[in-house]
Amino acid sequence: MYSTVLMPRNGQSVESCIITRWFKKKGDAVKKGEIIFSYETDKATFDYESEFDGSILDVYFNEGDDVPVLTAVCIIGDNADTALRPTVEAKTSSESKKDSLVYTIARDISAGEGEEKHEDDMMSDSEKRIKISPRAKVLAKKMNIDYSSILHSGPNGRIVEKDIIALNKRANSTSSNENKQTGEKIEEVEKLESEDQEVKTLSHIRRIIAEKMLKSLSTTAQLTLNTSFDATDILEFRKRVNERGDILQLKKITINDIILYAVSRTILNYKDLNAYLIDNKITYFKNVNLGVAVDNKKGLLVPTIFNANKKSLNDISGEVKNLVEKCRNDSITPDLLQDATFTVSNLGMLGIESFTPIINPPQTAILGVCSMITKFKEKKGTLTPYPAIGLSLTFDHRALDGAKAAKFLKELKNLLEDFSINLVK
Amino acid sequence: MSVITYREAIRLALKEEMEKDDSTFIIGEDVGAFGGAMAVTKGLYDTFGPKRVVDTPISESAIIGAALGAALTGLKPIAEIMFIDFTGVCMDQIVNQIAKVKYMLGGQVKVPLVIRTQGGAGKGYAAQHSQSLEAWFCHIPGLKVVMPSTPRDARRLLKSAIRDQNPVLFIEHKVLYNEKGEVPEEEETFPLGKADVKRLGNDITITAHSRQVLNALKAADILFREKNIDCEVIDLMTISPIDEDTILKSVAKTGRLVTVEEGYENHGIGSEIVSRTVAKAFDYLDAEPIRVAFPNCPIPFSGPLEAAVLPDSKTIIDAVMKII
Repeated sequence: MYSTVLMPRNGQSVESCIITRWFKKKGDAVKKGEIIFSYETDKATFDYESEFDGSILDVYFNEGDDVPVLTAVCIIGDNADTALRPTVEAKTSSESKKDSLVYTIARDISAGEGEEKHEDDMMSDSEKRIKISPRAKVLAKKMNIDYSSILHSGPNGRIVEKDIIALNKRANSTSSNENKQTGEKIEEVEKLESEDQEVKTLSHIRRIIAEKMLKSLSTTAQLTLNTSFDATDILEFRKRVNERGDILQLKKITINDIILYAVSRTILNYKDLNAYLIDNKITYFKNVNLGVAVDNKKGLLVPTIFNANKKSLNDISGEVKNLVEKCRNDSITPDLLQDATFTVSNLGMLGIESFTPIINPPQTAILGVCSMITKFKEKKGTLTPYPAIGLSLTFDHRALDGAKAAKFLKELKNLLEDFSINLVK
Repeated sequence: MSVITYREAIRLALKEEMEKDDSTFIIGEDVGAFGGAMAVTKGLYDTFGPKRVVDTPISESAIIGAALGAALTGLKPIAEIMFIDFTGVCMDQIVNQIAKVKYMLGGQVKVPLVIRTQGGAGKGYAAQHSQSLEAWFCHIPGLKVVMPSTPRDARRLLKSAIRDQNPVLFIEHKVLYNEKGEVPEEEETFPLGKADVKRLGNDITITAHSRQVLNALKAADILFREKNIDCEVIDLMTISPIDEDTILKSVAKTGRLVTVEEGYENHGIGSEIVSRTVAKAFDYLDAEPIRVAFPNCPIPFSGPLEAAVLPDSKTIIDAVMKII
């Protein structure tokens, strides 16, 4: 007896998930309730808990693979029952350079399913064949696709129309235009790997980010204003606070925390920047939910500090640390990744002196924080150096005009240059 | 447009055709003075009199035999068999005489005859009064079989059946008699041998006839709302000859087929549709075709038992989910 583990479908619109981690391998024993693997959709990560006791008889995908929902991921059963194992054939075609497997998975057998015969019973062991629906077969022939190494999503290991379409899509996304024009077989494009090239399909998260960025730049009228402020005051302030930090039970405050705090106190005077623009409607928010851009190995995540305008500098600092940690160890939940009204993105630690951050629609603006460089003030002929931190504000010109955005930057700059005094307010 | 019942629509078609053509007449048990066992012919006896609405003794062979004789000698009879389950008694008249006489006499005679009857389960009338036996008659060359699902279809299909110059079996459904529907004021007909696509869709083709069309449409509605599955529902209208073209065109689009009927599953209407689809649209199929039908057992008398096996929208939904 064995059971097939299918990639779950978490949500109507989810089409595939990426396996992020295997906790078991082929041959391992597993108990009901134990986590076998974890997988992610574009919104969150989930753990798959085993519904049975047994051992992992076979595994069909690796970490990092993008698996269509309801496709077999692995099978759990009794080691002893080899007679009912699904058949796994190594690919015999000499055309393929890839080391891929063809597999047919027989229906699960449960006690009492008397009438329905196990499909494999109808064929002798030597006659295992690729199961493909007529419609899919015709389509594969028309598109010149070799379907012998394809993922199947139909019952009993059957390849169906959408599997061919999916394969064609994957092949097309990696093929060059030239190949298409010469009418070469699509499968050969997939195998284009040599010493000086590596072809990878974009991961799920990457694809989502790509779509969002492209959409933002092509559907808004965004431009960036650059300025910088004298950071002397906040550097001094930070030093004092962090020296006394332990005694006063304060968190280690960073420059970014200070800037976040300053933004939360300033932006409500410029409500066009703390708003959503959707079609012809602009929604102004009474509170400031600050999105903080965090870099994690898979891509960009932007968790939200809700009602930042009501939180103290200490609170904001603590929350940022908390959110960043969650992002870095993949435990961030979807509810914390949405509903920001304004975003701050800091590339200062990477030496960026100015940049053009991309707005996250439907927000109307985003503030980029840049690195500290030494600039010079001129007063009565004397040049005095000072530490300057660049601020790059991208705003959507459809929602507001340059003057307003510039005024916000000016007020922000003033606040930051006299931070310790302004904190009193 | 007026809203009338299935029963009233049939009566309307009968009245319209009898008014148009003096050679039409109705013959059957209790059709005249009593107004019909299912009250379909109520009032027609008063309008047309005993020569055009003829009551008979309890003898199906006599009813059908007399109708055949009348048709051969120039009249246009509309014979009624009270329950399709009773056609066993007059099977020879229908299958060996009516269906074949024109052919056997080399086309020298005309048989412009309609047999009206009703079938279907759901009223607890048990094994001998609830069957759907259309498959018997679809098997015989020389007979057309027509089964309406709505008042409008009942009216326009019956008119076409009466005007047809060859034998037509018009099978009504006992549960549908009280169903209301819109029927246009102006007279209309619908060609025999053509199906009616009652719901357009892209994901799967569902064929049905008579009462099951209503279940299929209900299932399609639920499937669309809850699972975003878009079903194409085809009402066969004429069961024999079946409108292959419409069905095959639909399957070529969707790639998936579920047939629905109330007759027993074995050797039924669905079997015919599936075999033609596989033979002629094999390359368009993305999944195995499935039949939804009454199981191969006599229809229970017990209400809950009958309900448990009679196909309904849930049975259809389950079938769709198996192959979608």
